[in-house]
Amino acid sequence: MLDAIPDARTVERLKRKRERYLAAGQWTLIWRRFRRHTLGLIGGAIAVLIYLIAIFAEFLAPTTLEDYTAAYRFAPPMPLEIVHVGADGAWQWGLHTHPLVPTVDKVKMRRTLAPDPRKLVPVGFFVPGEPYRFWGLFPTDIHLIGTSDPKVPLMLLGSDRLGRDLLSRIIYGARISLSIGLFGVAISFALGVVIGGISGYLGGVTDNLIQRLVEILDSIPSVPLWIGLAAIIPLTLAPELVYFLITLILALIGWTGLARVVRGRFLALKSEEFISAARLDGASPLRIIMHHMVPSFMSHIIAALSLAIPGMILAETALSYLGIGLRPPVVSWGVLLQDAQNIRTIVEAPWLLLPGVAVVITVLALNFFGDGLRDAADPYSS
Amino acid sequence: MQSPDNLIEIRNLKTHFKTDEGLVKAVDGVDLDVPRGRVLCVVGESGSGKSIMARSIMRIIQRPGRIVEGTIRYAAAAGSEIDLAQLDPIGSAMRNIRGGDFGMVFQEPMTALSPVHTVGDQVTEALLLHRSLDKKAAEAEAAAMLAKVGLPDPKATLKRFPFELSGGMRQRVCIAMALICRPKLLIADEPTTALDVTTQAQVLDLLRDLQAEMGLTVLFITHNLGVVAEIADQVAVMYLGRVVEFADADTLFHDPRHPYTQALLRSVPRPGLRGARLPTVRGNVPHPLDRPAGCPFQTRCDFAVSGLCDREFPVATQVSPGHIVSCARVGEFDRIPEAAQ
Amino acid sequence: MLGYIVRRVLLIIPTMLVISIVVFLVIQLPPGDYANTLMSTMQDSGMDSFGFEALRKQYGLDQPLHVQYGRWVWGIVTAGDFGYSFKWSVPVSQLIWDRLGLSVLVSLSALVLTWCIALPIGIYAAARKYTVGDYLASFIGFAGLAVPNFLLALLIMYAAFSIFGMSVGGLFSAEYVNAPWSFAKIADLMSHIWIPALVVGLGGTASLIRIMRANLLDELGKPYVVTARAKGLGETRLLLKYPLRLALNPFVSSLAWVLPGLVSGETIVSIVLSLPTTGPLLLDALIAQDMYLAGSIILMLSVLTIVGTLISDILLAVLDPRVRYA
Repeated sequence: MLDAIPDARTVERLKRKRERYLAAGQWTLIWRRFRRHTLGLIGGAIAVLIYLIAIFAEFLAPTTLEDYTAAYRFAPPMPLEIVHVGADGAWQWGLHTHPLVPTVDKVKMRRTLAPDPRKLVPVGFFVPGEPYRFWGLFPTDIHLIGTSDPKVPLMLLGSDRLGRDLLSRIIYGARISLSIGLFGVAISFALGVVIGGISGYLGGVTDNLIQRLVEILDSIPSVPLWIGLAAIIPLTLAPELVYFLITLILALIGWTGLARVVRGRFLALKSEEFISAARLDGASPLRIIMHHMVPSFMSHIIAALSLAIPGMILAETALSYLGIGLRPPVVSWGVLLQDAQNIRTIVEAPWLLLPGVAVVITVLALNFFGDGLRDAADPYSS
Repeated sequence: MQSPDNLIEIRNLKTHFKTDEGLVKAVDGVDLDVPRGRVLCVVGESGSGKSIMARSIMRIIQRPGRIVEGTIRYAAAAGSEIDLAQLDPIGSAMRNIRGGDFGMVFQEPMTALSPVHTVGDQVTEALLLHRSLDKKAAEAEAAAMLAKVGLPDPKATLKRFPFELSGGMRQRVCIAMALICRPKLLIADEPTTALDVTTQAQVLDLLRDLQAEMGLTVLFITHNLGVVAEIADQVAVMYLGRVVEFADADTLFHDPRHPYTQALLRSVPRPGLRGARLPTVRGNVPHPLDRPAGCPFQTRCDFAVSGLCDREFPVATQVSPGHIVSCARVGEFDRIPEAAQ
Repeated sequence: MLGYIVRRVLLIIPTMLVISIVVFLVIQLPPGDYANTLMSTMQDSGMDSFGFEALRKQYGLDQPLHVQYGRWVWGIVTAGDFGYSFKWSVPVSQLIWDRLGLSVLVSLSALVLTWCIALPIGIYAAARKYTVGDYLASFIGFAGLAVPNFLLALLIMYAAFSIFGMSVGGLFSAEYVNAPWSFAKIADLMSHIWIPALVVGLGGTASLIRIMRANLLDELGKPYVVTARAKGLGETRLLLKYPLRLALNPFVSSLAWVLPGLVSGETIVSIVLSLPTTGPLLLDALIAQDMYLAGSIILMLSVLTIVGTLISDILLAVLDPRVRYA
C-alpha cells in the first residue's frame, strides 16, 4: 500500500511540468480542450484542406474553368487505373485512363460515351495542359495532374453539357463559394459586433429598442427575403458587382445571430464581479472593454463565426441554384448545381450533383470545427 | 453487524472518481458506525469526502465515481442486514430503501426542488412511491407533515410552486419531503449552510424536535463546529477521505486527541481572545491527486514524525469507550500538550 | 395568464406594421415598376409612352410611395384586399389563399415531423451520452444540417425516379389537382406531403436534436435531479418527470425560430419540387416585379412565423409556471 516515493529530481521535474500545465494562458487552454475533440480536429483539418484547394485552385485543377472538349459532352467520370491487363494477358503498369468514345447504351436506348478499353492514355503529375495565370499573376501551363495526350481531356468527375471538366469547375467553384462565406461573415460580424455591442453595453431603452427591431427582422423568413433582395439585381449587371451585392445581401440578413451573441455576452459580463472590480480599480471604459471583456468572449465569437460560415455557403448555394444568385463567369458550387435543375438531366448525368457533395463536406467540416471550438471555448462546460 | 445499537456499519469504504486528470480517492477507507436513534455529526473541511460518503450510503454516486471497495452494512429489519455496497444502485431493492428507509436533505434549498412542479406534487411523490396510498390520503399526509415542519397554511402551500417560497421555507419543505415516509435514517448534507443564522437556528431546532419525536437516526454533515455543539450526540471528524477521530460530542469538545481536531477547535473564534492572533491550521489541504503516503494530515501537523506518519495510515485506536482516534502518536501522551489555551 | 396572452397578442400589431413597411420597401427597391416590365416585354406592342403613363395611373403606380403603401395596408386591414396582380390580372387574394394554405400545411407537417423525430433522438442521445447511439444520433443530425434541402429534394426525386420509376413532385396525383376538396383528395394529399415535409424538416431536426441533448444534459446535472433520485425514483421515471420537463422549455421556445426556417425551407423545396404553394409564385412575382403579389406573399409568410412565435410563447407559459408569474 506504500506508494513508491520518487527521487528529488523527478519530483522537481513533475512539479515544474504541473506548474506549466496549471499556468497556461487562455488560448493554450482552449487548444488543449479542442485537441481532445476528435470530430472538431477532423473537421478543422478538412476545412483547412478545402481552403488550401481553393487557394491553389488553378494548379490543382486538371484544366481551366471554361476549357471544353466538344466531343466529350455529358461525359461520365473517366476511370483512373494503375494496372492494365492487355489482350495478350500482359500486365502494364502506370497510371492511365481510357479515352471515351460514343457508344449506344442498349439498356437505356441512348447514345452515351464510354471508355475505350483498347486505347490507353497515360496520366502523369505536373504535366503541361491548358495555360492559365496562377493567382491571375504568373502565366504557366503546369497542372498537378493531366493526360499526356492533349486531345484527350482528364475528366475524373465527368463533364457538363458543354464538355467542360466538372472536377476543375468544382475546384474553381470552391474559391468563390468559400470566399463568399468568409466575406459575408466578415460583414455580418462587423455589423453584429457594432450593433450587438452598443445594445449590450448601453442597455436600457436603446437595448430594448434594438432588440425589438432585431426580433421583428428575424420574424421575416429569410429565404423569401433573400429572393426578394436578390431578384432586385438586374440581369445585366457585371458579375463581379453581382458577387459583391450577393455577399452584402447574405450578410445583411445574417448579422442578427451574431449581434445576439455579442449582446448576450456584453450583458452577462456587465454584471460580472470582475468587471466591477476592474471599474473600482479605476480602469477606463476602453480598457475594461478591450482588456477584460473582449478576451472573455473572443472565443465565443470565433466559435459563432465559424458556425456562421457554413450558413452563408448554404445560402449562396441555394440562391445561385435558383438562378438569382451568382452568375457565370463567376462560378460557385450553387451555379454549378444549376445544371442539375431538371430531373431528366440528373438521370442522364448524375455526376452533375457532385458540387452538392462538395457543399455537404465543407459545411459538415466547418460545423464540426465550429462545434469543437465552441465546446473548447466554454470554460464551464464539462 | 458488530453491534445491535448500530443502524449502519461502514467498513473500509472507498469511493473513487476516475477523472481525466487522474484518480481522485474522495473516500479512501472509511470506518464508521452510525448508532441508532442518535444524531451523528460528520465534520470536515471541503474536500474531506463527507458528502461523498453520505451519497455512497444512499448509492447515488454517479459516473465517473464508484464504490470500489468496502461494505455498508445496514440493519434493515430485526435480525436481517444488507450490505448496501453490493446492491445495484438503480435496482428496486436499493430504491425501496432510498426514500423509504432513508431520507436525505441537501444543502441548497433554492435548487433542490423542481421549479415546475408544485410543492404538493414533490412532497407526496415519495409517499406514493413507497407506500400504497391513494392521492387524497397522500395529500392529507403531506399537509400534516408540512404543518409538523412549521409551515403556515399547509393546504395552500401544497398548491404553491417552490419559487414562491423563501429559502427557509423551502428547506422545511425538503425536510418534510425527506421524512414523509417515516424513514429510519435522515441524512442531512449541510442543510443549514445556505441559510441565514436565524433560520439556521430554527431549522436546527426543528430537526432536534423531529428526531426526538420520530426516533430518527440522523447523519448530519457540516463544517460548522457551532452546529455540531448544538445538536450532535456523536461526532466523526473526517480529513481527506478518512475518519480521523470519532467520539461523543462532550468528549470531542473537552478531550480531542487527534491533532487535526485540536487544531479545528483552536481555530474557532472565542470571546476572550481579543487582541491575540486567531490560530489557524497551517498549510493547505493537499490536492486530491497529490496525497501524501501514510497519514493525510502529516503535511500540516505539528506533531508529525517522519518515518512514522508517512508510512501507513494510522491504525484506529480506542482511547476510551466510544472514542476512537487514528493517530500514530496517540498512545504517547494522555493528553497531547497544546500550544496555547 | 390571460393578461400575458393579451399582452403578447397586442404586441403583434406594431410588429406587423414594421414588417409591412420593410416588405414594402424591399419590393420597391428594384428601379422602375411593373409598367417598366411591361414596357420591356411589350416593346413591339405599339403602345406609346402616353399609353404607359395611363397604365401607370390606372394601377396607381404614379402616386408617391407612402400613398401606395397606405392604400395597400388599408385595403388589407379593412377589406382583406391585398391589391392587384399585374401579371395575372386578378386580385392577389384570389391567387394566394389556396397556396398559402398549402404552404402552411407543408410547414406545419415539417414541424410536427421535426419534433417527433428530434425529441426522442435528443432524449436518447443525452441519456446514453457518448455511446454509439449518441454518436449516430449526432451524425443524423449533422447530415440533416449539412445537406441543402433543395439538394435533398433533388436526390429524393432522382432516387424515386431511377429506382421506383415514379415522378415525385407536386402535392396531388394528376386526377386530384383541380378536383374539389373531398376526403379522397385529403388522403391523396397526405400520401404526397410527407416527402416535402421530410425534406424541409430535416435541417431543423439537426439543431433540435442538439438543443434537446444539450439542455437535457444540463438539467441532468442539477440538484433537483439528485433530490428525486434520493427519493428512490427509478431512472427512467426520473428522467421523464423532472429534467425532461425543464429541458422541454427551450425546446418549445425553439418553435419561435424553427418555424421561419421551415417556411424558408418550404419556399425553396416547393420551387424545386414544383409544389402548388407560395414558393414558385413568389419567385415569379419578384422577377416580374409584380409587387403587390410578391409583397403580400412575404407579408403573409411573416404572419405565419409571428403566429408561430405567439403559440410558442403561450406554450412556454403553460409549461413553465415561472414565466406566468413573472
